[in-house]
Amino acid sequence: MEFEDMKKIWDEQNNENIYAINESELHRRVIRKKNRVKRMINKFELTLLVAMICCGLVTTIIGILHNQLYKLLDALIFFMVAGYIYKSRRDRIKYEGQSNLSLLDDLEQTIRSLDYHAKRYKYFLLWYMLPIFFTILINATFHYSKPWWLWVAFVAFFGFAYWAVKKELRCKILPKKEDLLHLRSLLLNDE
Amino acid sequence: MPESEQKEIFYDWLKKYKGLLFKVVRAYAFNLHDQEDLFQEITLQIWNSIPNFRGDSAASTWVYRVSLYSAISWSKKEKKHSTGKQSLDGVSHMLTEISSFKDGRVEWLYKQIAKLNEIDRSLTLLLLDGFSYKEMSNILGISESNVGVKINRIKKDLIQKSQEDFKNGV
Repeated sequence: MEFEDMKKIWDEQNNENIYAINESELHRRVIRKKNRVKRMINKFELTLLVAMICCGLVTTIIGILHNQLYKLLDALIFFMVAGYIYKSRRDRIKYEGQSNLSLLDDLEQTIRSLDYHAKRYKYFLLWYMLPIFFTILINATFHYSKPWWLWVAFVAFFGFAYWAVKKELRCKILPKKEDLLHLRSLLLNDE
Repeated sequence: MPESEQKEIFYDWLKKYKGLLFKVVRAYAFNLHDQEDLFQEITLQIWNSIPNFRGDSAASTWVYRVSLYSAISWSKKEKKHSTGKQSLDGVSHMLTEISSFKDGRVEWLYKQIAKLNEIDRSLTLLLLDGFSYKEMSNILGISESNVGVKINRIKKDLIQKSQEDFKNGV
């Protein structure tokens, strides 16, 4: 069969109704899925943001009330992290609104987005865990009365967080990126 | 963009280009459950893409591009989650198969397309739907010469396969 014949056969299906669409069900699902994803991301970002601001405020109030000025340093770290989360959120919303032109553009953007997430995961300890770690360290320096097992628990918690972040990166983000890189190479080969 | 306007455009596109969507769905998903899942994914991406559409290209080209990218992403994801999948909602279905192709060779074409990698599948669909090399190059973001090389290879393979299969009475 020649290619022109294949094209004719292919075009014939334009006159055939193979599927029927339940439009109201489709609309319901599209809206529900869109809102679910949006809600999930918003919830995650806003919870982190509010948590960091609250921690900063509480630490500031405690510092001022008890005249423990070193606590203001903790508060400053919390506010800086909150600022970083806010900036990341703004960048994400701005990035989402961009118009894509081609499949390759889409691929490149998704790869960039995965790189961005991978970077966030890699620096998770630095940006999210380190402020908490410093807070504990500063407190430990000024309060010697805490039992030893509490420090062990803190170290174990940091160890677990580090393991979980690395696992997420290794099992989810990096394989997805590899898939996309493979697609990109499929698209660009024969060049 | 107000949601009412977005909804109006969405239904207009759905009405005009549903044939195109079904072709993409059929080329990337091979049972009704997956086809429904992919159709949902594609329509969601089309819905999300409407505010970004500025009319620089034809709406059909835009819809094709969004559909192909959604299908490629979906098929990558599906490879990892193809087993033990639950029904989408278990209640009402969004897509119903109401007939099959009159010409069995259409099925044969879909089978050949299914054997290709994700990118070649997209190119074959665009080629069969009469897109020019330039349009394909714009949709995929690769050079026209690259499109040409790929298309020649795909055409050659398809013709060779058809000769083998139809000679053997498949």
